[in-house]
Amino acid sequence: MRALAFAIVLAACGPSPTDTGTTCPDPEASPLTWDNFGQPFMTKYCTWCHDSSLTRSKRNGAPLYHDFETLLGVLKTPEHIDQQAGSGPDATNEFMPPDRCPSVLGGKIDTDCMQPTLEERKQLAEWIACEKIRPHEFFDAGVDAPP
Amino acid sequence: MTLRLIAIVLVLAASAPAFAQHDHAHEDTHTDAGHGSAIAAGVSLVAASFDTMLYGGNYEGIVPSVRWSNERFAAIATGAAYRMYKNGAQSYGLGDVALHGQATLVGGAHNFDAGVLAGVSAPTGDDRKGMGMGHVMVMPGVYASWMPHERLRFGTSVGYSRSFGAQGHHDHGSWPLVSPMLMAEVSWNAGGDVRVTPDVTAGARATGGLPAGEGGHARAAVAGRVGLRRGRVDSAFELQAGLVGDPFTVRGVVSTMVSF
Repeated sequence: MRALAFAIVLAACGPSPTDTGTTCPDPEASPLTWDNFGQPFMTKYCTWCHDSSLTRSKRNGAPLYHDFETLLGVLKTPEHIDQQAGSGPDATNEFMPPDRCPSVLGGKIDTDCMQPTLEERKQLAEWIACEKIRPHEFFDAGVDAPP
Repeated sequence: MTLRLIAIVLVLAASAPAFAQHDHAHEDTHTDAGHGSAIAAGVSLVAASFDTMLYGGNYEGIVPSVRWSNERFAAIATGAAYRMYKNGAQSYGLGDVALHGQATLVGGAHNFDAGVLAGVSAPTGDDRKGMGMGHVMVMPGVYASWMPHERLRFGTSVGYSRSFGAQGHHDHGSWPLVSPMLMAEVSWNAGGDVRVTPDVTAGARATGGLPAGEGGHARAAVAGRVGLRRGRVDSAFELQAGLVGDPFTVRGVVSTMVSF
Protein backbone atom coordinates (compact mmCIF):
# COMPACT_ATOMS: atom_id res chain seq x y z
CA MET A 1 0.00 0.00 0.00
CA ARG A 2 2.82 2.41 0.85
CA ALA A 3 4.56 1.54 -2.39
CA LEU A 4 1.40 2.32 -4.33
CA ALA A 5 0.97 5.64 -2.57
CA PHE A 6 4.63 6.47 -3.23
CA ALA A 7 4.24 5.64 -6.91
CA ILE A 8 1.21 7.89 -7.14
CA VAL A 9 3.06 10.75 -5.47
CA LEU A 10 6.01 10.28 -7.79
CA ALA A 11 3.78 10.32 -10.81
CA ALA A 12 2.03 13.43 -9.56
CA CYS A 13 5.32 15.23 -9.03
CA GLY A 14 6.78 14.60 -12.47
CA PRO A 15 7.86 17.50 -14.65
CA SER A 16 5.23 19.29 -16.64
CA PRO A 17 5.40 22.00 -19.30
CA THR A 18 6.16 25.28 -17.58
CA ASP A 19 6.58 28.87 -18.68
CA THR A 20 10.28 29.60 -18.71
CA GLY A 21 9.75 33.12 -17.41
CA THR A 22 12.01 34.51 -20.11
CA THR A 23 11.55 38.18 -20.94
CA CYS A 24 12.78 40.15 -23.91
CA PRO A 25 15.20 42.88 -22.88
CA ASP A 26 14.70 44.86 -26.08
CA PRO A 27 12.92 43.43 -29.11
CA GLU A 28 14.67 45.81 -31.50
CA ALA A 29 18.13 45.22 -30.11
CA SER A 30 17.87 41.44 -29.81
CA PRO A 31 20.05 39.77 -32.42
CA LEU A 32 17.69 36.77 -32.65
CA THR A 33 15.31 36.96 -35.60
CA TRP A 34 13.14 34.59 -37.60
CA ASP A 35 15.66 34.58 -40.42
CA ASN A 36 18.84 34.03 -38.46
CA PHE A 37 17.49 31.88 -35.62
CA GLY A 38 13.80 30.97 -35.65
CA GLN A 39 13.53 29.45 -39.09
CA PRO A 40 16.79 27.44 -38.92
CA PHE A 41 15.83 26.20 -35.46
CA MET A 42 12.36 25.12 -36.53
CA THR A 43 13.65 23.47 -39.68
CA LYS A 44 16.31 21.56 -37.80
CA TYR A 45 14.21 20.38 -34.86
CA CYS A 46 10.48 20.85 -35.38
CA THR A 47 9.03 20.83 -38.85
CA TRP A 48 9.61 17.13 -39.41
CA CYS A 49 6.18 16.82 -37.80
CA HIS A 50 4.98 20.41 -37.18
CA ASP A 51 4.35 21.38 -40.78
CA SER A 52 1.03 22.53 -42.21
CA SER A 53 1.52 20.40 -45.32
CA LEU A 54 1.26 17.23 -43.22
CA THR A 55 -2.10 15.56 -42.91
CA ARG A 56 -3.13 14.19 -39.56
CA SER A 57 -1.88 10.67 -40.14
CA LYS A 58 1.55 11.99 -41.21
CA ARG A 59 2.20 14.17 -38.17
CA ASN A 60 3.55 11.46 -35.86
CA GLY A 61 1.40 12.72 -33.02
CA ALA A 62 1.90 16.46 -33.51
CA PRO A 63 -1.33 18.37 -32.89
CA LEU A 64 -3.08 20.20 -35.68
CA TYR A 65 -2.61 23.97 -35.87
CA HIS A 66 0.85 23.72 -34.35
CA ASP A 67 2.82 24.34 -37.55
CA PHE A 68 6.14 26.10 -37.44
CA GLU A 69 7.40 26.43 -40.98
CA THR A 70 6.35 30.08 -40.97
CA LEU A 71 6.70 32.88 -38.45
CA LEU A 72 2.94 33.30 -38.51
CA GLY A 73 2.57 29.67 -37.51
CA VAL A 74 5.00 30.08 -34.64
CA LEU A 75 3.19 33.14 -33.36
CA LYS A 76 -0.09 31.24 -33.15
CA THR A 77 1.21 29.13 -30.27
CA PRO A 78 4.34 30.82 -28.86
CA GLU A 79 3.55 29.84 -25.26
CA HIS A 80 3.40 26.18 -26.20
CA ILE A 81 6.82 26.33 -27.81
CA ASP A 82 8.25 28.02 -24.73
CA GLN A 83 6.63 25.46 -22.44
CA GLN A 84 7.75 22.48 -24.49
CA ALA A 85 11.26 23.36 -25.60
CA GLY A 86 12.44 26.63 -24.03
CA SER A 87 14.81 27.28 -21.18
CA GLY A 88 14.83 30.28 -18.88
CA PRO A 89 14.97 31.43 -15.29
CA ASP A 90 11.88 29.49 -14.22
CA ALA A 91 12.23 26.23 -16.13
CA THR A 92 14.14 24.20 -18.65
CA ASN A 93 11.62 22.30 -20.76
CA GLU A 94 12.90 19.31 -22.67
CA PHE A 95 9.62 17.73 -23.71
CA MET A 96 10.31 18.56 -27.34
CA PRO A 97 11.82 17.34 -29.55
CA PRO A 98 10.89 13.80 -28.52
CA ASP A 99 13.37 10.95 -28.46
CA ARG A 100 12.46 9.54 -31.84
CA CYS A 101 11.75 11.34 -35.10
CA PRO A 102 11.15 10.71 -38.80
CA SER A 103 14.17 11.17 -41.03
CA VAL A 104 12.05 12.69 -43.79
CA LEU A 105 9.17 15.13 -43.66
CA GLY A 106 6.07 13.26 -42.58
CA GLY A 107 7.83 9.91 -42.69
CA LYS A 108 7.69 7.10 -40.21
CA ILE A 109 9.63 7.45 -36.97
CA ASP A 110 12.95 5.82 -37.73
CA THR A 111 15.75 7.82 -36.14
CA ASP A 112 16.81 9.60 -32.98
CA CYS A 113 15.73 13.22 -32.86
CA MET A 114 18.38 15.90 -32.91
CA GLN A 115 18.31 17.73 -29.59
CA PRO A 116 18.95 21.44 -29.06
CA THR A 117 21.72 22.42 -26.72
CA LEU A 118 20.87 24.22 -23.51
CA GLU A 119 22.12 27.44 -25.06
CA GLU A 120 19.83 26.93 -28.04
CA ARG A 121 16.87 26.37 -25.73
CA LYS A 122 17.66 29.63 -23.92
CA GLN A 123 17.91 31.41 -27.24
CA LEU A 124 14.61 29.90 -28.31
CA ALA A 125 12.85 31.23 -25.22
CA GLU A 126 14.38 34.68 -25.70
CA TRP A 127 13.57 34.77 -29.40
CA ILE A 128 9.96 33.76 -28.72
CA ALA A 129 9.66 36.41 -26.01
CA CYS A 130 10.98 39.09 -28.36
CA GLU A 131 9.07 37.96 -31.43
CA LYS A 132 5.80 38.10 -29.52
CA ILE A 133 6.16 41.84 -28.95
CA ARG A 134 7.74 42.84 -32.23
CA PRO A 135 5.42 44.52 -34.73
CA HIS A 136 4.47 42.24 -37.61
CA GLU A 137 2.47 42.66 -40.76
CA PHE A 138 1.24 39.42 -42.22
CA PHE A 139 -0.41 39.29 -45.62
CA ASP A 140 -2.66 36.75 -47.20
CA ALA A 141 -0.47 35.95 -50.20
CA GLY A 142 -3.48 35.17 -52.32
CA VAL A 143 -5.41 38.33 -51.62
CA ASP A 144 -3.51 41.26 -50.27
CA ALA A 145 0.15 40.49 -50.67
CA PRO A 146 2.30 43.51 -51.40
CA PRO A 147 3.45 43.72 -55.00
CA MET B 1 -37.27 -7.86 -0.62
CA THR B 2 -37.97 -8.48 -4.28
CA LEU B 3 -37.90 -4.79 -5.01
CA ARG B 4 -34.66 -4.46 -3.11
CA LEU B 5 -33.08 -7.23 -5.15
CA ILE B 6 -34.28 -5.65 -8.37
CA ALA B 7 -32.81 -2.35 -7.29
CA ILE B 8 -29.47 -4.01 -6.63
CA VAL B 9 -29.43 -5.60 -10.05
CA LEU B 10 -30.34 -2.39 -11.83
CA VAL B 11 -27.89 -0.24 -9.93
CA LEU B 12 -25.10 -2.71 -10.48
CA ALA B 13 -25.82 -2.80 -14.17
CA ALA B 14 -25.91 0.95 -14.29
CA SER B 15 -22.85 1.64 -12.25
CA ALA B 16 -20.31 -0.72 -13.75
CA PRO B 17 -20.11 0.95 -17.16
CA ALA B 18 -19.96 4.35 -15.56
CA PHE B 19 -16.66 3.64 -13.95
CA ALA B 20 -15.40 1.80 -16.96
CA GLN B 21 -15.96 4.81 -19.14
CA HIS B 22 -13.85 6.74 -16.66
CA ASP B 23 -15.53 10.04 -17.26
CA HIS B 24 -16.06 10.90 -13.62
CA ALA B 25 -19.68 11.69 -14.25
CA HIS B 26 -20.86 11.28 -10.69
CA GLU B 27 -22.74 8.12 -11.45
CA ASP B 28 -24.73 6.46 -8.73
CA THR B 29 -22.56 3.62 -7.49
CA HIS B 30 -24.74 2.22 -4.79
CA THR B 31 -24.69 -1.49 -4.13
CA ASP B 32 -26.38 -3.35 -1.39
CA ALA B 33 -24.82 -6.13 0.58
CA GLY B 34 -27.75 -6.67 2.85
CA HIS B 35 -26.66 -6.11 6.40
CA GLY B 36 -23.07 -7.11 5.75
CA SER B 37 -20.36 -5.85 3.50
CA ALA B 38 -19.22 -7.20 0.17
CA ILE B 39 -16.16 -6.94 -1.99
CA ALA B 40 -16.18 -7.19 -5.74
CA ALA B 41 -13.53 -7.05 -8.43
CA GLY B 42 -14.01 -6.27 -12.04
CA VAL B 43 -12.48 -5.27 -15.30
CA SER B 44 -13.70 -3.19 -18.19
CA LEU B 45 -12.51 -2.98 -21.76
CA VAL B 46 -13.01 0.26 -23.58
CA ALA B 47 -12.52 1.20 -27.21
CA ALA B 48 -13.21 4.58 -28.75
CA SER B 49 -12.60 6.80 -31.71
CA PHE B 50 -12.18 10.55 -31.42
CA ASP B 51 -11.97 13.55 -33.68
CA THR B 52 -11.17 16.68 -31.71
CA MET B 53 -9.92 20.08 -32.75
CA LEU B 54 -6.28 19.00 -32.54
CA TYR B 55 -6.28 15.22 -32.70
CA GLY B 56 -7.92 12.35 -34.49
CA GLY B 57 -7.50 8.67 -33.76
CA ASN B 58 -8.63 5.92 -31.47
CA TYR B 59 -7.73 4.19 -28.25
CA GLU B 60 -8.33 0.99 -26.36
CA GLY B 61 -8.09 0.58 -22.64
CA ILE B 62 -8.36 -1.87 -19.80
CA VAL B 63 -9.80 -0.62 -16.53
CA PRO B 64 -9.52 -2.92 -13.49
CA SER B 65 -11.53 -2.05 -10.42
CA VAL B 66 -12.12 -3.16 -6.84
CA ARG B 67 -15.27 -2.28 -4.96
CA TRP B 68 -16.42 -2.48 -1.38
CA SER B 69 -19.97 -1.84 -0.30
CA ASN B 70 -22.44 -2.32 2.49
CA GLU B 71 -26.00 -1.21 3.07
CA ARG B 72 -25.21 2.50 3.17
CA PHE B 73 -21.74 2.99 1.83
CA ALA B 74 -19.81 2.03 -1.27
CA ALA B 75 -16.32 2.71 -2.55
CA ILE B 76 -14.56 1.76 -5.74
CA ALA B 77 -10.97 2.14 -6.87
CA THR B 78 -10.03 2.05 -10.52
CA GLY B 79 -6.87 2.15 -12.61
CA ALA B 80 -6.38 2.11 -16.34
CA ALA B 81 -3.92 1.31 -19.09
CA TYR B 82 -4.28 2.40 -22.69
CA ARG B 83 -3.07 2.02 -26.22
CA MET B 84 -3.47 5.31 -28.03
CA TYR B 85 -3.27 6.15 -31.72
CA LYS B 86 -3.50 9.87 -32.46
CA ASN B 87 -2.40 11.90 -35.45
CA GLY B 88 -0.38 9.03 -36.83
CA ALA B 89 1.48 8.09 -33.64
CA GLN B 90 0.91 5.07 -31.45
CA SER B 91 1.70 4.99 -27.75
CA TYR B 92 1.01 2.98 -24.63
CA GLY B 93 0.66 4.12 -21.06
CA LEU B 94 -1.20 4.19 -17.81
CA GLY B 95 -4.23 6.28 -17.04
CA ASP B 96 -5.11 8.07 -13.83
CA VAL B 97 -6.12 6.08 -10.78
CA ALA B 98 -9.35 7.12 -9.11
CA LEU B 99 -11.22 6.47 -5.91
CA HIS B 100 -14.95 7.07 -5.67
CA GLY B 101 -17.14 6.80 -2.58
CA GLN B 102 -20.81 7.04 -1.91
CA ALA B 103 -23.05 7.30 1.14
CA THR B 104 -26.79 6.80 1.08
CA LEU B 105 -28.53 9.41 3.19
CA VAL B 106 -32.14 8.71 2.25
CA GLY B 107 -33.21 5.21 1.37
CA GLY B 108 -36.15 2.88 1.25
CA ALA B 109 -39.13 5.21 1.42
CA HIS B 110 -41.24 5.15 -1.75
CA ASN B 111 -38.42 3.32 -3.53
CA PHE B 112 -36.39 6.46 -3.46
CA ASP B 113 -32.69 6.64 -2.60
CA ALA B 114 -30.49 9.70 -2.38
CA GLY B 115 -27.05 10.43 -1.08
CA VAL B 116 -23.69 12.00 -1.58
CA LEU B 117 -20.80 11.02 -3.83
CA ALA B 118 -17.16 11.92 -3.78
CA GLY B 119 -14.31 11.08 -6.07
CA VAL B 120 -10.67 11.88 -6.38
CA SER B 121 -8.23 11.00 -9.14
CA ALA B 122 -4.45 11.03 -8.98
CA PRO B 123 -2.36 12.02 -12.00
CA THR B 124 -0.70 8.68 -12.68
CA GLY B 125 -1.57 8.92 -16.37
CA ASP B 126 0.58 10.62 -18.97
CA ASP B 127 -1.23 13.89 -19.64
CA ARG B 128 0.97 14.70 -22.61
CA LYS B 129 -0.24 11.56 -24.33
CA GLY B 130 -3.83 12.36 -23.48
CA MET B 131 -4.06 9.48 -21.01
CA GLY B 132 -4.27 11.48 -17.81
CA MET B 133 -5.30 14.85 -16.47
CA GLY B 134 -1.89 15.88 -15.23
CA HIS B 135 -3.29 17.02 -11.89
CA VAL B 136 -5.39 15.87 -8.98
CA MET B 137 -9.13 16.11 -9.55
CA VAL B 138 -11.65 16.24 -6.73
CA MET B 139 -15.27 15.46 -7.54
CA PRO B 140 -17.97 15.78 -4.86
CA GLY B 141 -21.61 15.42 -5.82
CA VAL B 142 -25.10 14.21 -4.96
CA TYR B 143 -27.28 11.53 -6.48
CA ALA B 144 -30.87 10.35 -6.45
CA SER B 145 -32.47 7.12 -7.61
CA TRP B 146 -36.15 6.30 -7.96
CA MET B 147 -38.01 3.12 -8.83
CA PRO B 148 -41.58 3.99 -9.83
CA HIS B 149 -42.16 0.39 -10.89
CA GLU B 150 -40.49 -2.87 -10.07
CA ARG B 151 -39.09 -3.03 -13.59
CA LEU B 152 -38.10 0.60 -13.93
CA ARG B 153 -35.45 2.75 -12.34
CA PHE B 154 -34.39 6.34 -12.92
CA GLY B 155 -31.19 7.81 -11.61
CA THR B 156 -29.47 11.15 -11.74
CA SER B 157 -26.44 12.80 -10.25
CA VAL B 158 -24.76 16.16 -10.34
CA GLY B 159 -21.46 17.31 -8.93
CA TYR B 160 -18.74 19.89 -8.98
CA SER B 161 -15.31 18.83 -10.18
CA ARG B 162 -12.19 20.83 -9.68
CA SER B 163 -8.50 20.41 -10.39
CA PHE B 164 -5.75 20.90 -7.85
CA GLY B 165 -2.11 21.52 -8.59
CA ALA B 166 -2.77 22.12 -12.27
CA GLN B 167 -0.19 24.00 -14.29
CA GLY B 168 -1.88 23.70 -17.65
CA HIS B 169 -5.35 24.26 -18.91
CA HIS B 170 -7.76 22.04 -20.80
CA ASP B 171 -8.52 24.80 -23.26
CA HIS B 172 -7.35 23.17 -26.45
CA GLY B 173 -10.24 20.86 -27.04
CA SER B 174 -11.19 17.72 -25.18
CA TRP B 175 -8.49 16.63 -22.76
CA PRO B 176 -7.37 14.18 -21.69
CA LEU B 177 -8.51 12.20 -24.67
CA VAL B 178 -9.46 9.13 -22.65
CA SER B 179 -11.47 11.09 -20.10
CA PRO B 180 -12.25 14.65 -21.20
CA MET B 181 -12.82 17.06 -18.35
CA LEU B 182 -12.48 20.76 -17.66
CA MET B 183 -10.34 22.31 -14.95
CA ALA B 184 -13.54 23.17 -13.11
CA GLU B 185 -16.91 21.92 -14.16
CA VAL B 186 -20.37 20.86 -13.15
CA SER B 187 -20.66 17.21 -14.10
CA TRP B 188 -24.05 15.63 -14.62
CA ASN B 189 -25.54 12.28 -15.41
CA ALA B 190 -29.13 11.13 -15.89
CA GLY B 191 -30.65 7.93 -17.13
CA GLY B 192 -32.98 5.04 -16.68
CA ASP B 193 -33.05 1.25 -16.81
CA VAL B 194 -35.71 -1.30 -17.53
CA ARG B 195 -35.58 -4.85 -16.28
CA VAL B 196 -36.30 -6.88 -19.37
CA THR B 197 -35.99 -10.30 -17.75
CA PRO B 198 -34.97 -11.30 -14.23
CA ASP B 199 -31.35 -11.34 -15.41
CA VAL B 200 -31.25 -8.68 -18.11
CA THR B 201 -31.63 -4.94 -17.99
CA ALA B 202 -31.58 -2.34 -20.72
CA GLY B 203 -31.11 1.36 -20.29
CA ALA B 204 -30.02 4.69 -21.61
CA ARG B 205 -28.43 7.74 -20.13
CA ALA B 206 -26.94 11.11 -20.92
CA THR B 207 -23.84 12.54 -19.31
CA GLY B 208 -21.73 15.63 -19.60
CA GLY B 209 -20.01 18.61 -18.08
CA LEU B 210 -20.51 22.36 -18.02
CA PRO B 211 -17.77 24.97 -17.49
CA ALA B 212 -17.66 26.27 -13.95
CA GLY B 213 -15.65 29.44 -13.97
CA GLU B 214 -12.34 28.53 -15.56
CA GLY B 215 -13.25 28.49 -19.21
CA GLY B 216 -13.60 25.61 -21.60
CA HIS B 217 -16.52 24.20 -23.46
CA ALA B 218 -19.46 22.04 -22.48
CA ARG B 219 -19.54 18.41 -23.47
CA ALA B 220 -22.32 15.85 -23.59
CA ALA B 221 -22.73 12.25 -24.59
CA VAL B 222 -25.54 9.73 -24.72
CA ALA B 223 -25.34 6.01 -24.13
CA GLY B 224 -27.36 2.86 -24.43
CA ARG B 225 -26.57 -0.23 -22.43
CA VAL B 226 -27.48 -3.79 -21.69
CA GLY B 227 -26.71 -5.49 -18.39
CA LEU B 228 -26.67 -9.14 -17.45
CA ARG B 229 -26.48 -10.67 -14.00
CA ARG B 230 -25.77 -14.31 -13.44
CA GLY B 231 -25.08 -15.40 -9.89
CA ARG B 232 -22.21 -13.33 -8.55
CA VAL B 233 -21.21 -11.98 -11.94
CA ASP B 234 -22.52 -8.71 -13.33
CA SER B 235 -21.69 -7.82 -16.90
CA ALA B 236 -22.68 -4.93 -19.10
CA PHE B 237 -22.14 -3.47 -22.51
CA GLU B 238 -22.54 0.23 -23.15
CA LEU B 239 -22.33 2.07 -26.44
CA GLN B 240 -21.72 5.79 -26.15
CA ALA B 241 -21.88 8.61 -28.67
CA GLY B 242 -20.42 12.07 -28.19
CA LEU B 243 -22.87 14.86 -28.92
CA VAL B 244 -21.29 18.11 -27.77
CA GLY B 245 -17.71 19.14 -27.15
CA ASP B 246 -15.98 16.22 -28.90
CA PRO B 247 -15.57 13.92 -25.90
CA PHE B 248 -15.31 11.08 -28.44
CA THR B 249 -17.03 10.06 -31.62
CA VAL B 250 -18.19 6.68 -30.44
CA ARG B 251 -17.10 4.52 -27.54
CA GLY B 252 -17.90 1.01 -26.44
CA VAL B 253 -17.42 -0.39 -22.96
CA VAL B 254 -17.64 -4.02 -21.94
CA SER B 255 -17.42 -4.61 -18.23
CA THR B 256 -17.79 -7.43 -15.79
CA MET B 257 -17.60 -7.59 -12.02
CA VAL B 258 -17.54 -10.55 -9.66
CA SER B 259 -18.83 -10.24 -6.11
CA PHE B 260 -17.16 -12.24 -3.36
